[in-house]
Amino acid sequence: MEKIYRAGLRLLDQLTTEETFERIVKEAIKLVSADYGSLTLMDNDEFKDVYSTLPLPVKRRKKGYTFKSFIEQKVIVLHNQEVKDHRDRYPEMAKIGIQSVILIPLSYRKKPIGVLVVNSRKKEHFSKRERDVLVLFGSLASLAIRKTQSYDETRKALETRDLFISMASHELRTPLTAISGYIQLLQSRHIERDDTESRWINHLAWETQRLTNLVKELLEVNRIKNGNFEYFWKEGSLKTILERALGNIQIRHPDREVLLEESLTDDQALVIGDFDKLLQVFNNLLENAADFSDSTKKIVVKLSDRRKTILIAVKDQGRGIQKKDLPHIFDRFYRGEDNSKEGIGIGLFLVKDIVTRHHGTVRVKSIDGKGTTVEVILPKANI
Amino acid sequence: MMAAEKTIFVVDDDPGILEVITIILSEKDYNVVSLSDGNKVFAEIKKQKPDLIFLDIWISGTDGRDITRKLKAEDSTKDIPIVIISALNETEKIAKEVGAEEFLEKPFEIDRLLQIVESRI
Repeated sequence: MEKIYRAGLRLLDQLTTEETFERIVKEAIKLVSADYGSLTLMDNDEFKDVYSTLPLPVKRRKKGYTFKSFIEQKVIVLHNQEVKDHRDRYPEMAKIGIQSVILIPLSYRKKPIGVLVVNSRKKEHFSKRERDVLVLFGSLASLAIRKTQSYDETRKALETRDLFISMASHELRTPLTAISGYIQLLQSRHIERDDTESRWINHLAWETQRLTNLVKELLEVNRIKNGNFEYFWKEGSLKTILERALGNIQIRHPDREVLLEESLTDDQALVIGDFDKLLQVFNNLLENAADFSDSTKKIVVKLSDRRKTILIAVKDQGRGIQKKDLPHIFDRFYRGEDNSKEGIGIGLFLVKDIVTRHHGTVRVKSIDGKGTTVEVILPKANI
Repeated sequence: MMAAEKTIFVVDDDPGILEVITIILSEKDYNVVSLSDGNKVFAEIKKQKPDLIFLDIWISGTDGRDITRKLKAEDSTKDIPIVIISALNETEKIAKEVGAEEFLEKPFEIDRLLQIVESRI
């Protein structure tokens, strides 16, 4: 019993599909001290060996014992005469001296998936006990096969999804480029006019920008996942980055009061990082602060010196984050349950990814109804 | 120097994008040659050498990356600044790989496009 348990455990190791097949066969041979083994699976209507230790290839015919065991889901033990018949068909089998064969049907959720074949050079091998051992091991093997197949299927599905996102965004961006180009041309011809058409054009421009941003967001997720998010490292002042981010938020929300509290010298605020990516971090945080708080409430950005690190806190007086949302806010595509704002839920995911790559940390403190503070801690350049 | 003396090639198989860029540059008095077929770049270059080329990556029948590599391999054309314009995810990376001087991600801002032209011409 313990031997089966141990063999079963070995199937749970992190293995590739091929390694899993190999291990199933080898563990089965070892469990009953047999000599050879094969694993035959039904894959897309094809019944074939996915792994075999036999020194010769065996064609699994639809009239053969293996297929019979598969269809009827029955354990078949072959001795003497049956093996002799078998040997007549495969003279090579005689050369390696196989005397006994056992066929263990494999299934998952009552659906047949294949057959485990174990061959022995001993006569009358595979007693009732050995047969029970292999049947039990067969059910563990079935689980391992389904596990590795599900993993492969999931991986393929994810690859297809990523390729789809990538292609879709290219296909969406091409017409968007023409649309946004013509709109910009129209805008340049209607500059400083205050008529209905100009207002329409501005609406068009704004909506096109929204659409463009959504498509870009989709792309960024894909980029991070595929590791194509390139970083260009250099030394720079966090103060400059924050001033730029504050400038951006003032353009989008001109009436909002946004304060920068800092007392660091330029030297103390130096970090090594990718300027554009860090700018995106603070743009996202400030945009969230503005989106989730009343426009009359101020947003405070505080920069503090913490000897080896710098702490940047973005504090709003908004409605806060609900407790149930807190553990998930950094997840990709996560949007709070009662979030009515636009976006696909990757803002904070990006923040965390970028800060982590700068060897920093992000944490969020939020009191429901009172406001949220996001703290970013980044290592200083000059230590 | 008058801008009118400067020639810019715009290569893109999307007629809308081609027209928009052509209008923007013509209004700034550049001499614009718009090409929807990437293969014609080489014949056109023999007629007049451009001061800058805007080049899409996926052009029907050819590939902007190959065109850039060929232009950069030729002594007579290697100094023409090339701006890769694309809606692909990795426009910046691709531009660097093939040796293009600049990149412009689609959709673009007119101001950014003009900024690139002014900095390169």
